[in-house]
Amino acid sequence: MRDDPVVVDLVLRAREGDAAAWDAIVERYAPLVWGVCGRYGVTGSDADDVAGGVWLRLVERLDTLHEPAALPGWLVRTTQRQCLQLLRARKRQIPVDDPEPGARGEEDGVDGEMLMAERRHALRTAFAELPARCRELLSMLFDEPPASYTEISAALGVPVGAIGPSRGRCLDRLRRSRALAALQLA
Amino acid sequence: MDRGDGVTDVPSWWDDDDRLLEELGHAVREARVPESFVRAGKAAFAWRTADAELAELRLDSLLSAREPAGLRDEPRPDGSGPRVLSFAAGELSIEAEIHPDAVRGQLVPAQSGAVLVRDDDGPVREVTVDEVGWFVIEPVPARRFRLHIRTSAGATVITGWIDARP
Repeated sequence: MRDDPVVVDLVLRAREGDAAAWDAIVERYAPLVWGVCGRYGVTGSDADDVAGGVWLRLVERLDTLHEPAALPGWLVRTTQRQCLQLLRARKRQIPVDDPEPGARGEEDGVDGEMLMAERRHALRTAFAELPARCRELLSMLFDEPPASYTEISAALGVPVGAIGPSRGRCLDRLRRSRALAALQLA
Repeated sequence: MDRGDGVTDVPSWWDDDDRLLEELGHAVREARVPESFVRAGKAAFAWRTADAELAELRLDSLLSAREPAGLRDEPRPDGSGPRVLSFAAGELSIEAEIHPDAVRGQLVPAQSGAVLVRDDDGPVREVTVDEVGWFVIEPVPARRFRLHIRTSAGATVITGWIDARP
């Protein structure tokens, strides 16, 4: 994600008023914003509200964003702030006995969030580049709840005994992918 | 990220098949974001201020009340009604009344759309404008604000600053 030429290009195009570039930015970073909301327990229409506020702010900032590469960090901090504001407003309206929602300070853990977001983005990119057979197999394995080897065997038409070795080979392919290799070198 | 320095958590998720699979699952599931969440983000682009025309202040009853009585068209005894503001940009005018509980406004000519309330920190909240042009901002913003308006026909205007409690 750092210094990603794709992101830089998208920001520049959105700045010129290109709505398709903006949509691409939102699609790319929605999981990041969504993930932060989830860790603050903000879900459903509350999360939509927070996202709306975050993206409105980014629309305003677009022209003055000097470092498009700093975008993920800015999104994390802004989302955290909006979540905290929402939680504080809630507390004022409905008095609760609960202790402070977590002991999370403002802008807590931005670096951690970004490292994780970067890693997960790389994992998704690498996963998307795997052969279809690997994607099918791994999806069934990491689903919640995961499919049993018997179910996988029936669904994919492979012997149960071949699933373990295939799983290992697919994960090795994932490790060798360009997206993850870049992450390791960063 | 430096592998093997014992500081980062990279080796644990990277080297172990179970951990890698688990992390991959988190990554893929996390990207399954609800459609409404993405839609809220995409819709924000319509609120670019760069395209908005400035609506100029044409009337502020608070200011006109301070003028000598002889200059006023319609005498308005102090405290007899809400403060009235009027802004205009081209054919569109925005009338806003500041009541104790809310700002009530109307677009003239009547038309539907949306109003985004902005303060010095940025966008505060969005309210809809009904088909006869009415909108309500409740409660009254505590800090100075301006109204960013998008009509259904596609016009975007932004008013000057309004201080509801001068």
